[in-house]
Amino acid sequence: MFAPKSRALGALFITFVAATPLAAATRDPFSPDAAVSFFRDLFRDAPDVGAKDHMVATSSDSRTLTFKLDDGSEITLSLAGGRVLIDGEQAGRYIPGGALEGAWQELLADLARVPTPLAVLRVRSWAPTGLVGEEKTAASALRRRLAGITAATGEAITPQPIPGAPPGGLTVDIRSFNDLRTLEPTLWRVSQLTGPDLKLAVPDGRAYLGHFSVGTGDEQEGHLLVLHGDADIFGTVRGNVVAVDGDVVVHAGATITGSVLAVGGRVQDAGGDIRGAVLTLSDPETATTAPLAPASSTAGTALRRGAGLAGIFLSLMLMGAGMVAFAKRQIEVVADTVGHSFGRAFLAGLLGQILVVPTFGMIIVGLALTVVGIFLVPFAAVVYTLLAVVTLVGGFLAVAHAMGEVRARRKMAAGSTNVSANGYAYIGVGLTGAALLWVVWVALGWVPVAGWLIELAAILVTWVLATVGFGAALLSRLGLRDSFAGRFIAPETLTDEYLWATPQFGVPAVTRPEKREVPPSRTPPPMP
Amino acid sequence: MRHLVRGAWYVGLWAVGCGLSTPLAAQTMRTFTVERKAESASQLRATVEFGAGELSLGPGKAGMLYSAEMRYDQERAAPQHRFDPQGPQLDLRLRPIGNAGVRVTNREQLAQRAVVTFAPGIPLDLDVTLGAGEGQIELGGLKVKRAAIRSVATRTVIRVDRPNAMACETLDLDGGAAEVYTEKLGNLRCAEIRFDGGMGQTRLDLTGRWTSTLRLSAKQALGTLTLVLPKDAGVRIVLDRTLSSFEPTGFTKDGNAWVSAGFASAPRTVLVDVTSAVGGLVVVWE
Repeated sequence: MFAPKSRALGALFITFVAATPLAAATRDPFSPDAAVSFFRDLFRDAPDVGAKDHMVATSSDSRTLTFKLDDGSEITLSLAGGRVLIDGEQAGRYIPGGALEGAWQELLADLARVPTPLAVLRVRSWAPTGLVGEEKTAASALRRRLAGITAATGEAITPQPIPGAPPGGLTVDIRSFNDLRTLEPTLWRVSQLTGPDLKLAVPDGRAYLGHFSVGTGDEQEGHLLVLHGDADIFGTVRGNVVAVDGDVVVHAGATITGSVLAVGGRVQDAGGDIRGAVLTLSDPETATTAPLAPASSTAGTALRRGAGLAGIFLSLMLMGAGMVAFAKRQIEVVADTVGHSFGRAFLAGLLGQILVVPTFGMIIVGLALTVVGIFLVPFAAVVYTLLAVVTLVGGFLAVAHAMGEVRARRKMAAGSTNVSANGYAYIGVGLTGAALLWVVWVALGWVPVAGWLIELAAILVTWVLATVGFGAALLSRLGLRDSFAGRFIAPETLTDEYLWATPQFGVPAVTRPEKREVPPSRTPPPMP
Repeated sequence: MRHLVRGAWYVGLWAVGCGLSTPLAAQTMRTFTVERKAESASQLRATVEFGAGELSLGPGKAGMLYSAEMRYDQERAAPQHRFDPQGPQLDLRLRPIGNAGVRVTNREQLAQRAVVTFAPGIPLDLDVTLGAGEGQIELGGLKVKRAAIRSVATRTVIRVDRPNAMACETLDLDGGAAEVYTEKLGNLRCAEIRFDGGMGQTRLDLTGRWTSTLRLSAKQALGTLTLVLPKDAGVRIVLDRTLSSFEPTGFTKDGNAWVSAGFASAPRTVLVDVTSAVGGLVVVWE
């Protein structure tokens, strides 16, 4: 009906259409609600909602953050019993006691003691690190949900001076901006403090919370730090000016003898005189504009895993075809070694895995100990690594070859005539067999506990096959030696006369001489 | 078998489609800006170091001594800005966190970008180091007194589209494992250009408005070195090569050097000293 090219393009289009909604829809991508949600999300930005209050609740197995919004609704994000819940629906999984739970717990501990406007700032820039796999995906879903939250209007901070810290207390040194790596985190930490916790010392300067102005004709001696508000300069500041979560506005006629730094804000030069440098450092963009990982749905996870499996399968298939085409004898010898000396190959592979790193170290050290050998170290390292990879991959493909060959023989023995008895088919069938457990994992890996068990089984089986292949490749010297391949035939059996009289292969119906009965011994019995 | 091939083709398309449709993973990008008015500065010595990403460097607004905008991944890098009014001297860097040297982990890291500009009319002593990524450096319009540009693993393009307002003393280029491409370096009016290349392709374009004598010293370990020379210039090349090729068309042998026709009477001359290990030297006349 359709030309193959049209079909291919159609498949590609369907793939894009099928894959794209996975990034936007967070729940069942095939439900009508999800479809509406998908198109709604596709054509508008993330909705901004004003949070007027927030709550943190923790128990032995759950940690919940709730934002109360202007319109009376709530946003609830929770880690409970291994599941990441967003507004009551599962958005992913986490490992109890793992990195995600630790980062979430740390965030909630901070949020428990800050007012809602600061909590909003805090969650918008929450960026846990060190996450992998499903935890990383789940964290992306949490961050995506948190990104749309803004503080409710009317939550402005009352301007006030910040009390000085006692000796040994928190100090923010803004006399120089040379060490931003140290200064910026300090400023961020300070900006998270509220109430009685907010006490700090500014060497040669002062600190204020909320909007702050230096009036026309006024002179501010020393450096100026403003948290959560704009610094409006009409007069003169003899020192540096720093604003965190606010702008610095230098009006006409104003003078700042030092430099200006705005963290999370701008510096607006409205005709003033800034003698030093003007520096700005934006808020982290992760929570607002940086691309985030797609939400994880069951279908999406399965699709991604399936694509990965298909990619690996095709790659191995291509490599296997190449080996059959260009190194047929070698792969057959390794495959025969697998079939004939399975246990020995497994032990050799196990030993090889244990010794591969120490051997490498010994080679490098040995070369390094000699003067001439030092120059060979890079070459030896590359060659050794390549050999190890070729041995591992080649061995695995040989195992697949052996599996396919065994299956073909059994089918032929059962009388089937529709059997492809060639190396390409052997490897294809073998790889398919090796991939079966992974296919089950792709389909059912999302099931709690069972999914992990399937994954474990698949890893175990693949490791065993790889170990056997590695060992067989080692035993057969990458297919160059057939001592363990069951191909040995004693030289005396290869004489023409013997072969003519006694065919060795393929004729099980040959009539062999019957066993002769042993005549009774003529030796007289021993004397009593 | 045909079905198998067709099925594999569809699976491949599907896998490619899924790969293209997957958004990038999260990262934490920040933007750092800095600028300073020229005030009474009579010169500037600037050091710019950019670990990974795209760097654009060139002339900026008059009256602004320097300005920079850096977009970086705060989990992997940190900006550093120091200014010493005695000199004056600027030290502007985007360094990998931990000072572990250049480290490129994935394509996302290369989303880092920086735009650095300098005052057009103030004598500049410039020292630039590029890590991994791409560098676009426009020296035309600047008043370059001396410049040193090091590329570790970068594709670097250096252009000088306008003649330097002052004679440049030296230009040092260090190619590392990078591809270095230059346009109209002659406009810098340098007395000497030194190039030290490791691996990669290099194109040194010495055309532009310059007079008298230009000395070029170039070392290339692995790769082709292409010299673009003005047609009216007399050229003398001393070539030390190991496994390199050189087609001396238009040159005659003079002792251990290759000399272009009309070298003695040329209005301007280029004295080239090339050391090439593996690769070749190509001369192009423009």
